[in-house]
Amino acid sequence: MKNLLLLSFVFFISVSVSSALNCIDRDSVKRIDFNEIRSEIEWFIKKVKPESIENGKYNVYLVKIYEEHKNQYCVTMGYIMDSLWASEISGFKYFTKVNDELVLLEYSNALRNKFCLEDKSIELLVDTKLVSDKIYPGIEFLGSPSGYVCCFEARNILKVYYDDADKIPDDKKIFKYIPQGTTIKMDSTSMKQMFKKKKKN
Amino acid sequence: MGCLKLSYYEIESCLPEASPLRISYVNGEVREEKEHRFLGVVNQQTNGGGPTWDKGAFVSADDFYGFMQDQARGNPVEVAAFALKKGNEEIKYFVLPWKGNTGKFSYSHLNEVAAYVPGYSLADVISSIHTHPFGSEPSGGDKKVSDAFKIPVYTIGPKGEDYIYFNGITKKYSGD
Repeated sequence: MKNLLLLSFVFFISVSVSSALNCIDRDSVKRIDFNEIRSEIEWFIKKVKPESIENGKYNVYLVKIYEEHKNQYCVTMGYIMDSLWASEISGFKYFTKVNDELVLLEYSNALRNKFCLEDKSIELLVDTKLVSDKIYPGIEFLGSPSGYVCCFEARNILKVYYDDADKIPDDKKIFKYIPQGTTIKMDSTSMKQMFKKKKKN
Repeated sequence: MGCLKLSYYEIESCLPEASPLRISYVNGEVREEKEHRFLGVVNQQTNGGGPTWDKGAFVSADDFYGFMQDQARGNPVEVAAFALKKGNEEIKYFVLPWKGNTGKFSYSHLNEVAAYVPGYSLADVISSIHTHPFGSEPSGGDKKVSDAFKIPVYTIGPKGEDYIYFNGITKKYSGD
């Protein structure tokens, strides 16, 4: 029994040391420097506050970090202001504060381990009240937020700002379900005629 | 720092920055000052009796489209409205105040209809209409609002880029 305990202990220590060494020895190419991401988040927040309701009073920022292909990872940023998209942020299990702004983070355990994504400022999102206290209660706003995609590879970063987050390529979008539907071009009727026609009805 | 280039991306440096007017317009005090200046023009167009930035008003069905298109053309922030129908009444159009709206977002006020149009409720709202100063089609957010409240969402652009989204179908209209 004593031997078994000792063996378990040795195994535990070796696994822990091995994980730590993985991160320490990891080629810098494969390591995510969260400070780099943070500076892009800061830029994004500054950029989108003016377009947001009440200069960003209700904004909760969303940052999704994912592997694009070998050695390259990407970050997609967006924001919500009310509960319209609330059902689709369940994947955001972590949060951090950037210049006092609430930023939710989504990334997988696999990505965290592979790229050694660690930062003292990142916390597990346990209490979703943090989010509900910040956003406008209920579904209120019509409109389209902007989005920002940064792809990091070695010391290169491709940065693309989307004035309309709907235009972000599907594989990089934050929200999986965005209503699309069919578009029909109405050649014979104008909207002006339609409003007047409605009056007669 | 280098930059990877992929053909399907729009490179940030190639995108025009938002105009200084649009940025400063939505920043605190500056915003209100410019809204007032802008409203002087709007109130002239509506003889001073129409909707204002801090107080909405009914607009007749004959004037409604013209009013909204003028807003899409001249007002850098979105302006939203309700189409209301109660019982056998004719359809009425109530333009909401655009205080606090930006060029990309507007308050729908769908959860507080009575606060803006006494005597009416969400059940009387048959559609939500708003301007898109940049002329784009209904956004994913607009469509989700439509789906959530089960009402059509209309968008009116400055150059006749008008759309209706309802129930998964977007109809594009041909302006005037």
